[in-house]
Amino acid sequence: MASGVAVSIDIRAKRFDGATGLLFDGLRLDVAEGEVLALVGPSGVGKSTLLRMIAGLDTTFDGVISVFGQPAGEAGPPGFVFQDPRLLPWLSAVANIRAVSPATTMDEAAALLGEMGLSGFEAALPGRLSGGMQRRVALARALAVEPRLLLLDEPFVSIDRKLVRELQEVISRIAEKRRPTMILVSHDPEDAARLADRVILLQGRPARIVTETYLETPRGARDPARILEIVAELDSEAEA
Amino acid sequence: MGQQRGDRSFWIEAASLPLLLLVWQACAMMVAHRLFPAPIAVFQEIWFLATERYLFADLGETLRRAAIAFVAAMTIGVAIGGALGRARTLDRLFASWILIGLNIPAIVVAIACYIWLGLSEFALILAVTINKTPLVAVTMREGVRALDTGFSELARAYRVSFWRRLRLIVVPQLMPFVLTAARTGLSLIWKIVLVFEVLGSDGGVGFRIGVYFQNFDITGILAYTLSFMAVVIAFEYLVMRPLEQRILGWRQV
Repeated sequence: MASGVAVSIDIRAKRFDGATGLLFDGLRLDVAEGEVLALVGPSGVGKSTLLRMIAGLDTTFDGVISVFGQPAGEAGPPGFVFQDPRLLPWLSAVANIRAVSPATTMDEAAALLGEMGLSGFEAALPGRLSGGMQRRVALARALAVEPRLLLLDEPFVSIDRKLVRELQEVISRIAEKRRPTMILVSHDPEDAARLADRVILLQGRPARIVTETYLETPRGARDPARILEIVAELDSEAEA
Repeated sequence: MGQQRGDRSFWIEAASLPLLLLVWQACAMMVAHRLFPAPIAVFQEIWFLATERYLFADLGETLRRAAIAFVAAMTIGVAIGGALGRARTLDRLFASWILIGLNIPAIVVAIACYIWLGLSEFALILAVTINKTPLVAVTMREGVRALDTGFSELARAYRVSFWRRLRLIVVPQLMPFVLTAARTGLSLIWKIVLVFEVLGSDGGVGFRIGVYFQNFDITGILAYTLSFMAVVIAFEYLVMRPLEQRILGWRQV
């Protein structure tokens, strides 16, 4: 893992949108270049909001977030996979990729789809694709911008376990081959323990970092028993 | 089974127009009066007007006026609707203007335009445009309000340029509303342009129908009406539907 800091977060205060109270009240966190960081925690704790703040989509907070040394929002586009695939239904799979990355050629977009196991679906409209396929197109779209930072917001939500495994393999391959810095938001500690180098549990209101777990073993070689152990630890922390 | 049902529906639909003509013919035979001409007489009149008189010139004149008013109303309506959909303050400020525009009787607008501007071509087209614009504006306002914020966020996250965002994300979302505005607008324009031509013009389908009305020539009135309806229906099938299919084909997926 490279040692430089990719994302530096220093949030002094972030209020809830349309509600009283603070979502974050002093949150400091650094993400190393090439690291895969997983943010877990109960729903509503602010994981997705934090991801949107890192992407520069939410600037209504007091503090500083920098991405590769630049203020969030001014750095180059991150690859962002939203909770829902957000494919433009009137564009084909290839056109969806090129919509956010005009520099990507048709062949490059088709190659990205091939990498996701979607060869032959280049011209397919999103409505013709299954939920899992749509998520893979969204992932291909995120990779098209050749991101140094890849943000994944609950990429496994509402899909069956078999498909979750497939997507996890795809994301693992991306992490090994392309080595972007990745921040993965998940409510499921197991997904996090399988994919991440570091798992952070956010909890409370305002949200704070409750535990920080480093996984030294390479992704592919992780012992399922160890994964379950980590999951149990995170669950017990969450309950506490 | 499904195929058979489809065939049957097709034939039932295809029989609709001939059935109407038969009913019309039967009624004409029963009434047997010069003020209730049979369809054959009307078709003969259409042939006569087309070959010996001004049917095509009149149709062309009316279509030209309708086309200019349509383009003007769509352009102005889309701009106003877009602005109202984006800015709540503007929407609130002009809410009553739109309400008045939607409800003011078309004939009043036409009369006012003719009084202020004279019985001119410009006054006629302006009156049609004024009548149609609020309808387009309201439809487009709803379209802009319905824009998916998720897609806007996607574009912001990936730093998609303004024009690219407009072309690939905003316009495709607005197209169903543009087509609805066009369709409802056209049906309105077809009707009011004739009325306004009756009121004050020196040519066109409405003008000619007005002349026939003064002479109680119902055959001529029906001949012009049928010809005009044929053009409207042809426009629907040859222009609007293929256009809709081309632009909104993805929705059937």
